[in-house]
Amino acid sequence: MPRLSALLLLALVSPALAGGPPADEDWPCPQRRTGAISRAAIWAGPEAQGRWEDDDAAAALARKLASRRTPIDEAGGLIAAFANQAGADKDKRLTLVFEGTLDLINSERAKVMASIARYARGQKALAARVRDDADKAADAQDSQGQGDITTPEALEKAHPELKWDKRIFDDRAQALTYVCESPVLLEKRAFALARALQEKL
Amino acid sequence: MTTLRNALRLALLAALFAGPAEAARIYITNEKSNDITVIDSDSLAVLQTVKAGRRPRGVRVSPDGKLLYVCASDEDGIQVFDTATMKLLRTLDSGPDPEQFAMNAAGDLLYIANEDNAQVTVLDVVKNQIVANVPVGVEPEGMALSPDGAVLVNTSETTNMAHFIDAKTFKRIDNVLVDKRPRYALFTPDGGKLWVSSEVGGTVSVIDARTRQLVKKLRFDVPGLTAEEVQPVGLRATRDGKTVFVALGPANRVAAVDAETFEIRKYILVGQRVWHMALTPDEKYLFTANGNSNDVTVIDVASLKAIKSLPVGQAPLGVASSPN
Repeated sequence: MPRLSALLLLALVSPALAGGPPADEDWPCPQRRTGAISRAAIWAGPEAQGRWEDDDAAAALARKLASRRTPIDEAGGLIAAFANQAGADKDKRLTLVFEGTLDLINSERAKVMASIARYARGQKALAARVRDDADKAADAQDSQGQGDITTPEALEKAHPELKWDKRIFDDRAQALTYVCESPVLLEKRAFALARALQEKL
Repeated sequence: MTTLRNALRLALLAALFAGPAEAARIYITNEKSNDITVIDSDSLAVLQTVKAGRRPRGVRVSPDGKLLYVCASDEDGIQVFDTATMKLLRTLDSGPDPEQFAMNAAGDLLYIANEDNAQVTVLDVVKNQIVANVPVGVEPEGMALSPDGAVLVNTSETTNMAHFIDAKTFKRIDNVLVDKRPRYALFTPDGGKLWVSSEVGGTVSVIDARTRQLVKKLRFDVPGLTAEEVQPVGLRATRDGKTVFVALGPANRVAAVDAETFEIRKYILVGQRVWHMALTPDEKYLFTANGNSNDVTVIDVASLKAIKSLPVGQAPLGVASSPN
């Protein structure tokens, strides 16, 4: 029953999935999939000297700033306090804080993006399952001579288990709008922190 | 007596300086908070925020400085504000989804790109009447009118072309192929060249406006950035035509380009996701709208340095300056 699966598929394909870049099937977001945030995109300060992990106070501040639990409004105060106590190496150490913050945010962002891709693969698998189930249901109906089911609603009524999978699919598709925003939110955070650090150089 | 004389002298001096130093107004359209931020170019302070239609994008000030035109993209109209009071005077019929538009020197005709139906709407703003609907390439974006008013240019996102159109007969003169996703078109002040930014291609094409041959293709190798982070969008030229500023989107940089040698003089770090820009009438400052950091960066043109960030509404996109 190709017609039935086509109908169901139409009902299943969410706009977010349909609107994704065609070149990247695992990427369901309307936003472009981009690599890690480049240092140069947000930083006009000096090059880092040394590893940020080796400066305990700088590393602690970087962890605090990178954490989404720290409200962005508090960043300025935390950075000012650090700068006041940083001594003669202030610029060098603020640069280390920046390096640490960017590393941490980039690794969180990479995790978020990997889970978005995983999520998209899960959705595709779910869509395929619903399609298969629909085909099977339709075949069964054909063999039982129950006539033609031409609307998704009629099909769902005859096979309630299909409805459940479709509901999960729709819920996830809806959540995608929010999920797709998270890499962008992290980019905004990295930029705002870089700017606040540069102001103290 | 001496004090009085001094006071008079001071008052006279103040009056002298008040004249030429009259500040311009900078208008920013905020795409997501649906408002317009008004900035004083002298004090670099936000004067007021005015409610606009849904998704305000393209913005221009009339040549006499009295009217402000704003594309309300999701309302299929162009709103007209009185710049003296910032009151909404009327909404003009722009055709569907207006994003960018060009204006003639007299300020009575607008040429509006309608992204959804592949046409340019020519609108008489005095009569609020559509003069012509010009079919163009799919998904038209950038719009520019030559300084002499004879040639209209529209860029099409899907065909990757700059279409040259006779501004009187609305007949197609020529098509010039540019790089992917042409976004903005700008005539140099002498009308000799047309600059077209390609957002996805990452380049700016400089085209001889008379022969319509490509003169130069500019690339922007910002050290440390990946090619995909460089997405040229907004363009602005100084009146002498010597410098063109190119906004590079998610590179968070504005490139200052020598328009004669095509040498890139400087990449200036601004806010996040820089879209469009405007120069003050005295060309002392360049204002950039930064869509992701929700602010405006003020660049000192003489030193090419970012000197200030001003928080504005959500997702600022368009910038226009009053003519004086």
